[in-house]
Amino acid sequence: MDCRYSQDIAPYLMDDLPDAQRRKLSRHLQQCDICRREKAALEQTFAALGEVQDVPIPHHFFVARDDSRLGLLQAWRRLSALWKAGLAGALAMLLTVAGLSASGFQIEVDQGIVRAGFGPFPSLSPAVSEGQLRVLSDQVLVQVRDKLATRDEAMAGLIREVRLLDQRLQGLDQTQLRRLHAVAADLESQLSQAWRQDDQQALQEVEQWMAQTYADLRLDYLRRLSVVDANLEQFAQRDSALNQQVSFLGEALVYTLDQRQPEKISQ
Amino acid sequence: MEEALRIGTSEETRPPSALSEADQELQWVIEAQKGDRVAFNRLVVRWQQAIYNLSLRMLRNPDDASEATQETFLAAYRHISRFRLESKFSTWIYRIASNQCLTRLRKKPDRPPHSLDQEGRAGPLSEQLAGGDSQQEKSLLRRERSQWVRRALGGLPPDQRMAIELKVYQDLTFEEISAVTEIPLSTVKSRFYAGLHGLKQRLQACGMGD
Repeated sequence: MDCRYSQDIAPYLMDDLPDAQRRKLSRHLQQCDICRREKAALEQTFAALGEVQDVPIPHHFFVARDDSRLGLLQAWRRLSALWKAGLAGALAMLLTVAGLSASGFQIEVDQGIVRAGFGPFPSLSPAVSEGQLRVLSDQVLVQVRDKLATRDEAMAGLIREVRLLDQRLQGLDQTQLRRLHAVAADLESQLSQAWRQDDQQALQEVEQWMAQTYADLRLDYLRRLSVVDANLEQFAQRDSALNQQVSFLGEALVYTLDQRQPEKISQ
Repeated sequence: MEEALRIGTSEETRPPSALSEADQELQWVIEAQKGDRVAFNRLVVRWQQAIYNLSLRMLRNPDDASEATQETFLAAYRHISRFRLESKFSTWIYRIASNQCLTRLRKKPDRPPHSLDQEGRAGPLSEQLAGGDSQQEKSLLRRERSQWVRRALGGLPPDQRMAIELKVYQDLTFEEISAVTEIPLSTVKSRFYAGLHGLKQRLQACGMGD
């Protein structure tokens, strides 16, 4: 059994009927069971629709550039949201505090003169003896180690910054705070690990270069030094791209934090 | 170190509060049109939750929804210069997202819907109920009901589903939906009401809408 008015019930509930028609249907509803049942069923349908809540986004959908599927971005997406929040800020700070690149380290080959180091460096001619080169390489290694020690200090500062970030969100409940502490600890260990690997690799590369340079000193060390130089150049370029990526992630973090005040963060 | 502290302090970097949300958004669009990627990513942060959930309800699969959302923002980024400032950014981004979803549904009709586990990162309902308190039970039952509604929605034709999505979940007016989908107002309404009735019948059939 049906009622000719029942098709108007949905527009009635959506406030999508002209006034006169609406008033007429209101009166009709008082005396028509069919339409009252239809109204109740539709109200339940709306209530059911209301049970579908938004789910949290699985990751940020930042647009980097047209080649947005860079490895870095993909790795970024695999991280959990809180870890990302910590890391974005941390990386932005890291870049500011310490710099990621080996930009200070240079090797120059100029008209047969070799220069290497982080600052004012000694020079020597191609006719240099192995003994002299060993002295030079020791100096370079000392400088590399000093540089890495500075980075360690910078990292400690960075961790302090992450904890400051933590303090900024004091309005959070205990669960959230514990999670943030876990983030800071996680960050510390992950960064330490990453840095240790980086440092070891850097040292190994320098030592390897030295060893190879000794072995091939009389053959073509200038060519080899040029290769190392080119590699360092590439390294610096890669860091520059990373720097760009991280700066906008940092920006996005700041924006996200601004938008999500503590009471809104609680889930 | 000073710079680091500045980055870590929201007060100095918070957008000026004098601007309304709409003005702020307009400003970001203008900056994005000049090539400012950070401004564009601010738009992404503002809209990603809505667009992802729209895609998820339309495509019923988190991976597809994720891809559709990313493609929506990439398309918006590539074509931001074509966006005309007199219209609303929301209309434009919803249009891209709804086209993205409908195109995907045409190419690849509904994939199997995602499971409860995927949505809630939890195990089977019965296992969780076994050891849970009443609060947990309520939450799980609510999630299960939500799954039924999602399934019922998923059974509707895509056009009707989109009309309900934009009206109920994105809270657009019929006129706005007409602008987003570029179809006449009367068609929007007939799709919405047809979808609503279809949904009512499906929910009644599974005992949720008596």
